Amino acid sequence: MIKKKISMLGSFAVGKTSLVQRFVRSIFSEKYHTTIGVKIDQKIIQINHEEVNLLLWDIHGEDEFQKVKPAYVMGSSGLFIVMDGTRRKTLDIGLELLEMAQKVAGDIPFVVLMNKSDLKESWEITGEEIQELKDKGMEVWLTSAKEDTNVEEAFTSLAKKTLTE
Amino acid sequence: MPAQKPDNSMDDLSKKLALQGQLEEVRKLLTGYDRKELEHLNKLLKDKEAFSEELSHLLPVAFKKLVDSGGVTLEALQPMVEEVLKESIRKNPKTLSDILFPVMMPAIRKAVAEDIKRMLDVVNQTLEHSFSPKRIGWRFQAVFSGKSYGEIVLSHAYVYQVKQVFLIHKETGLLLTQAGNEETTDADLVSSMLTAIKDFVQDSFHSTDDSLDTIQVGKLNIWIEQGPKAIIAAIVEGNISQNYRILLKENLEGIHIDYSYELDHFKGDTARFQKDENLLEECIQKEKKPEKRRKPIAAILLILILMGALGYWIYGLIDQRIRFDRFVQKLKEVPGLVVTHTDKQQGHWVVEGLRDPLAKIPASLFAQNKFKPGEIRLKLQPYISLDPIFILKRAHQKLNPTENQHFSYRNDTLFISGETPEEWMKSSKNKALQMAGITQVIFLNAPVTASKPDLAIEKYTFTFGFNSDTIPLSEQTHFKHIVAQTRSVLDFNFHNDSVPVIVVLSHTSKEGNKAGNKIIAQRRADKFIDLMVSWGLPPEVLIPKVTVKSDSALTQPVRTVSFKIEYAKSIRHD
Ligand SMILES: Nc1nc2c(ncn2[C@@H]2O[C@H](COP(=O)(O)OP(=O)(O)O)[C@@H](O)[C@H]2O)c(=O)[nH]1
Ligand SMILES: [Mg+2]
Repeated sequence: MIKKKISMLGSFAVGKTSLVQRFVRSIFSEKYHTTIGVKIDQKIIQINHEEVNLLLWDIHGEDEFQKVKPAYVMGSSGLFIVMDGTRRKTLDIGLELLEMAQKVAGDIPFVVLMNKSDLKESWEITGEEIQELKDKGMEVWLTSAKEDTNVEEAFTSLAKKTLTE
Repeated sequence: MPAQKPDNSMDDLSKKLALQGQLEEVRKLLTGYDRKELEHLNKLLKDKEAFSEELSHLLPVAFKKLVDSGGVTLEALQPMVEEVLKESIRKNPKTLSDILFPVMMPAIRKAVAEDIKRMLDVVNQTLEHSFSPKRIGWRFQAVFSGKSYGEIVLSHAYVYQVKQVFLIHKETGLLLTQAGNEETTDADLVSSMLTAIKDFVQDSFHSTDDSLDTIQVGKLNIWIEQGPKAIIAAIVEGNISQNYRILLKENLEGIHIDYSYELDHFKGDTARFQKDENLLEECIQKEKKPEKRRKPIAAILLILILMGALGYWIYGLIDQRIRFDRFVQKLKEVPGLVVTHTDKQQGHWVVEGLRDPLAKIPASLFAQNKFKPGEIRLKLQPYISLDPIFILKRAHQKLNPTENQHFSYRNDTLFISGETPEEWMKSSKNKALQMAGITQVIFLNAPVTASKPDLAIEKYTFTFGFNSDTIPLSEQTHFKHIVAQTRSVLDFNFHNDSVPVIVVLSHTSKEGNKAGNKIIAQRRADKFIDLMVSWGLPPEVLIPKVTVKSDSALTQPVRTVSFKIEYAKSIRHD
């Protein structure tokens, strides 16, 4: 079986844990805090009649008190850069983290998740800004862990990318 | 030279000292310090080290006074301190982390351990959920003993057991392959977690590669051995020898050599590693607990049974022997029977001996000692018993006395009393003298009748105790006087035509054991006769006579001995 390490990166409270929860267990709930700053889940999915075991590293969000440990990103085959549409700052932090991750893990496939799409009316990040990201060649999904929007699709998409590249 | 003018120099010195003391005095008065203190202060100001040392004692006190008095606020100081700390970290973060390490480490270690435990509960679960009849049994044991399942598992079967070995790709944390008897589906997850933990520890504490070599999760120990490209993690139950680490190291080195290319170019495809089934096989080790020796219940039972049987057999033998001895004892008591030898031959008891044809073996003797007649073989040769009873019996058979005649026997002498016609006397005397055990025949109640003096002995009667033949000493003394009188009166000269004889009459009952009664009656008579002989009476004239009567028909009470004087015509056997 093919196995892939996928890292979830993003500022704190953008919804990384919620997204993984939704994807792995199809539920949206509970918070899980770890001292070591990472929580790992796995999910086996079918891609082109092939089973892929995704090891999802939910790495604690960057904030003023905690820095993402580069060691956790090492060896990743793919990245999710998660941003919270309702907080402008999470876009910048997301891009910073992407830069850091690429330094550590190399030029690996990644997907940007613009989360909390269910709260679109209170989004600070504009459509233009999202378009800018797309123009840079990034794949951007508007997701909602709460309403289960595009979660499966986004994960499947990144998994495919890790296989082809 | 001071030695040459001692007086002078001594004088000088004392003068100098006196002057110095005065100067000191003056200085003290003027400045308030003495010279020593001044020297100390001077030295302090010049020696920075010493001065700062001195200040360090004073500063905190002074500072506290300053804050307490409100001269300076902590708020005002805070940015300053923070700035200093930031600068320190910027210059060399390790310094601070080294300082904080001893303080933080225990707390962090605790928190991490908690995390690991939570994360690795997965491991426990998969191990615990495996199913087998043995494990179900342990589960019950856990429930009933109140111990945890893990404890029970550990307490059984193994001193240690390597349950699972993971080969993990170091960079990605992905599981390359695993070995172990319990396939854990979550092995991938566990591998990633272990890698994360390893990363965390190394990253947080700037530690070297082998800093995290074991993690304890409940009853399980995870042994981690790191190489440049791969990690081996072994999940061990129980206490394994430290040598196991060497084994892990060697295995890991081997893997690095054999799979160098695959490890370098690993893209998540583990097939290459999983193909090699023996890759980690060596790392799976276990040592069985020395089986608690089961108590060999069956064997113990068998031994007990055998011992019981043996005991019963021995008991039987002993019991049989005891019964046989009792039987022989009783047999010996039978008159006219002599036991010469007893033996056990081919499972049969054998009694050899002599038996007078007149002797009767009571048939009850066998049954009384629980023997069947066939169980004891009696090999008895006929013989002529010289037992008085048998002599008398034979005398009766041979001489065929009339009703009025009475036989008794003592000391080789046959006494015949009653009517004795002259003819019969002659023939019977000859017949009697031919019989074994008879050397003399004395006829009592001979026709000669002498005037009988009145003798105390004829009025004497002694009553024995039941089944007893003892004569108390006091009674003997009393009887001795009677005998002395008898001796002084009677003339026991055998050359006379007639001789007085003392018939010792022993009366016994015919109730109960008649034979036994007779024997004891005989013994009682003998006791008196022995006494009389010892006091000087010739044994030939003492004639025992046992009379058996039914209790009711008794003129004399039973168990008595009395005496009667008769005269006999002495007929000697040459
Ligand atoms: N409305 C809404 N809330 C969300 C969504 N995803 C996460 N949240 C909430 O955002 C907060 C942070 O989520 P969490 O998953 O812990 O973020 P993390 O710190 O990135 O792991 C929680 O209160 C979640 O309930 C979403 O898609 N929509
Ligand atoms: Mg989270």
